Amino acid sequence: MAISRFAASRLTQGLPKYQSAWDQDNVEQGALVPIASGVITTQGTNQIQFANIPQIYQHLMIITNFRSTAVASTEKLYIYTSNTSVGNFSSTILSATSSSISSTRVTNDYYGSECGLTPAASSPAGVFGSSETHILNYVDTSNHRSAITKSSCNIDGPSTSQIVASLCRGTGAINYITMFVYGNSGNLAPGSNATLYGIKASA
Amino acid sequence: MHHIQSISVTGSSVSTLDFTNIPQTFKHLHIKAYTRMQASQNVPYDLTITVNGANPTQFAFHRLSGNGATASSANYTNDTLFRVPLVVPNAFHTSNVFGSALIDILDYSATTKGKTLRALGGQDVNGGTEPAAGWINLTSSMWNSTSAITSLTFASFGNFAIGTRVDLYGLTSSNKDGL
Repeated sequence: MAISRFAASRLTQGLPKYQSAWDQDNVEQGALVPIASGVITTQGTNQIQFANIPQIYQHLMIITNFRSTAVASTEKLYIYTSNTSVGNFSSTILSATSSSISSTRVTNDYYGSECGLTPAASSPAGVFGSSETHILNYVDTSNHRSAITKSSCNIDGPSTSQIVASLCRGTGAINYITMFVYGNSGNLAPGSNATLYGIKASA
Repeated sequence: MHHIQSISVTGSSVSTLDFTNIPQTFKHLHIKAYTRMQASQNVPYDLTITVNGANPTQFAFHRLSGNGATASSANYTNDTLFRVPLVVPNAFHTSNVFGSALIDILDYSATTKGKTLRALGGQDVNGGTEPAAGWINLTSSMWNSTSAITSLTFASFGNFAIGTRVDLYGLTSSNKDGL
């Protein structure tokens, strides 16, 4: 459905008779368009999944604000994409804590690509971690898909910021994406949320 | 964020991707670069960006990187273009893997200040031996000039592989219609 809006500037432009003064495009959104969002209201799942992803955009962006119920300070954040079969995920990770920086690699990961950290139950109450994941050219079914993530997990103690390059091997379509926590048997805490955006490559 | 222009490599490979006559009506630029080169070397290539068709010695960059084993940093001064290092895999690396780079140039049209590029990018290739393994990088690159940016030319080493694409976006700082 097109969003029509009357723009004040149209009054001064002196439009020809055939041109409408009403904008028919989603001018408020531009190229960045919200597709779907999910919120955890009751504890019971470790994931938020985006299904039936339209194949009409060029790139995707997923933003998460997660907290885990795991009995730990943090739990790992993962991304699963439907173009990839189990065992075909991998990551290159750069981490910074309050005292050091390091880089690690995960290969042939089974459930998804590790892409960050979230605060868990042993961290200060009410603190959520944030991440932003970009999948460029997600509609390219001639090549494998990659993701770039920046993740912040500050728990006023042993905190970690990470940037991650993920490989989701497979040339199938990305029809659904799952963001989930895994590693310390936690679920997503109420208030955790995620939003999927599509980015157009056209006007 | 508003789409300005996209360039894709299809049919035959090319060595440069040229964005000319960039509108001066936005506040900032954002670039999404999805790239791979046909040439081969164990280390991923840098993505280079020539500004306004010229290469004066007015640029510098520094990076913070991880290659799966070691965190590192590096810098280079007296450069002749913007540089986003280690984000372009090539024929040496796992087939069908492209590098991703998210690039921001703030205040690109300003004529009272120098220009700074910020980039987050890299690629993972499911293992390998450094430096041929995956890289993730945070980069800052500077152009010490008060000239407005009107064109950007993307290149690396040799020709871009088929499937490469770069998308240019403009970010506004106010409502598009001034409401």
